[in-house]
Amino acid sequence: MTRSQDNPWLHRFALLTAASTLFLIWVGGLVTSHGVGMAVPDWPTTYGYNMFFFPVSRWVGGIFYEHSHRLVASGVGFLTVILTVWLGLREERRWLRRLGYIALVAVILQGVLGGLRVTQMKDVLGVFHATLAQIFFALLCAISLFTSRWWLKVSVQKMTVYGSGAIRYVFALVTGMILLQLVIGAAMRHQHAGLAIPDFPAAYGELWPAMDADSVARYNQSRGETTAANPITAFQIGLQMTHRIMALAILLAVAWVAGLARRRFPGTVLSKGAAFWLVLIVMQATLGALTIWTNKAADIATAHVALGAIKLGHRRGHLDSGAPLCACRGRWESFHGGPGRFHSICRSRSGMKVSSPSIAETATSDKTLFAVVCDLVKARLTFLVLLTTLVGFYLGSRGPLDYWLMFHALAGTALLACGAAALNQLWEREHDALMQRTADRPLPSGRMQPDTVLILGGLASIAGLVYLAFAVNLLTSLLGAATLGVTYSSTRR
Amino acid sequence: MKYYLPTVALFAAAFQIGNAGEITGKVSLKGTPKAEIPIDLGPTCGPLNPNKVSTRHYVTSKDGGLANVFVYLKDAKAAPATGEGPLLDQVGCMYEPYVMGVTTGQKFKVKNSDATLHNVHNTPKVAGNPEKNIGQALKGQVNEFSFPNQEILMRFKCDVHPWMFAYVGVVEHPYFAVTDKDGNFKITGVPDGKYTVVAYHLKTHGANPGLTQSVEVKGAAKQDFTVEIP
Repeated sequence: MTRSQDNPWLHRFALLTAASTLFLIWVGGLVTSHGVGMAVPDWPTTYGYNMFFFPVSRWVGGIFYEHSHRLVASGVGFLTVILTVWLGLREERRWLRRLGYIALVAVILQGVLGGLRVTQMKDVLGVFHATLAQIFFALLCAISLFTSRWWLKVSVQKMTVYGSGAIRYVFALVTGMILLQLVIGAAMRHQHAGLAIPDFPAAYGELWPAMDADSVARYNQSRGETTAANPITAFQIGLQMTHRIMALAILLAVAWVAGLARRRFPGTVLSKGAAFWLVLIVMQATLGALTIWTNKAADIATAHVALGAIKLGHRRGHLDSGAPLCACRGRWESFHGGPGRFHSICRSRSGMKVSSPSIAETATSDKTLFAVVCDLVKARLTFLVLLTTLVGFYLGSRGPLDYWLMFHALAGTALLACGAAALNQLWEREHDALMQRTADRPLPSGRMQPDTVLILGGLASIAGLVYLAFAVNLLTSLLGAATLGVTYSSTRR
Repeated sequence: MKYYLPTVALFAAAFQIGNAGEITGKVSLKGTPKAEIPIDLGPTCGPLNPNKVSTRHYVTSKDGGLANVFVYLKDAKAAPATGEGPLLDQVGCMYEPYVMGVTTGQKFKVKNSDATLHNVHNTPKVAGNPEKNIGQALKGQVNEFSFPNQEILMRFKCDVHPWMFAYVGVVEHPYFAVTDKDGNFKITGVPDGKYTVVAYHLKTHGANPGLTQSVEVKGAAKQDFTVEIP
């Protein structure tokens, strides 16, 4: 099987998958906008039927939206499987093949999250589901971009043109703000309380609305909801005010970035992209206002959701093309900072021709202490562990959520996971040195000494176990100790 | 012995009647509520319900009586349910009644009387009361519910038709009532004693506990309430 970086049909298929995902987000948005997320109580069946054979005559009311969402989601899942296999077979760039694997895991996780949201009847799972949908879409946009010929053409040039300067930090910062804004938006929508503030630009006629208990009671009394919307709370009002302030901050930031890009890189892709970005932001702000002025009309609210996804997808592509950045430099940066850089790293290490000296210098520059520690504790993996812990904690909790206990569980697990990752690298250091993928880890690369790692990893593990035992419960601590033991024994050769 | 048990039962019944009173009253509304919002039943439900339907936040009579107010005794002793609770029906794509009450542990049925699909989804807020979401795909399908803990009021909704929702008050004893279309209520079988009567109107009181009045029951008592729109 020949691999290549130039697979035009693969690129078109990636675009199709991304477009299908956007359509899926639209349908999913309609489900929430119509408040019919629970209209089909069972999953993966639909009213007892295999979902693909559920009679069309029974697609009534909210079932139409929810069932359509499930079918379109199945289609996107199918497309993603094909895309991943296609990437795996024909794509030359290993990091891009990995993006395909990540997309496959994400789409499976997303499907399970959607199902659990129905069967477990937990609104918060809807927030995770909505957020992961946006991230998944951004991921597919990135894959579409990286598989394009245009990307191959500009990937080296862009590094020398845009590879430095404060503008890339601003790009990354604003992208982070947009993701946070999407999470806040998802949290607002999954309160299922309708509009927490019914007017705009004022808020209950004020610059800042009263949020005391009597005022909130008055707001609830005066509402005229036709659906089974939950009563609004002070928290929800605060959430919407935060969403509004964030929107203003993003609008100002993007306007500034667009102006900066126009001045510093006139007529370039970066400049045009930033201008288009500003247009998207203005459209999104308008849709946000319309959502309120139309009393959350389902189509408008859904368009607001879909455009939010487009913005993130656009930013993801733009960030990759023009503004590589991450606090953890090195591998982390090369992964997130764009394939041009990563590709150069691979080539320089394997003795192949390096496209640009400046890129090679960047690739071989040493890491900051923070980046090394990130590598040592496997920051990304630990983050995923914490996400899993969070979902597990929520599913396992009964009654009202104990946020403090959740915090303690996450903190203890984080300590333990970091310690386990460090100790694992200590035990694996000789093998890590033999493989290119792992040779850059802190121990084989000589950036850290085994004694230091032993002390850090041991202390973090013990601290995690003790913390879990006292702040959560003994069983959790014992299970953590068992996991640590299994990790140790399974890595011995 | 042959006549002993019936005689004892007769005496017990007489004793019960002699000590059981009732509380009657009327709940009136002061102030002008917002107009109710008409509901579009859509192509599936429209043919099932010939009536013009609207929201039911403030259902009032001509003389100001307020319907759907849940009235209950706050400090009566817990008492078990007698028999099955009232039926909560889904008919013409509306829940009927809009507000009703059951006793903790008392079984009651929720029915789909429509020739279309509904789902019955209760959303309790009190820990221990289970949340369920049951599809009712067939006309005549019935599912049974009961709840262990007091909760005033618990929402039942149909997600297939988002305008369909109703409320069930779950009380530890059987001394409760819901005001009728004229705002009248009657709580029967109340043992003599002093009680705090609560009148709770969902739209007006929300998270607040509702109106309270002290009442002494000696056979019969009367207590009216006036709900004011803030």
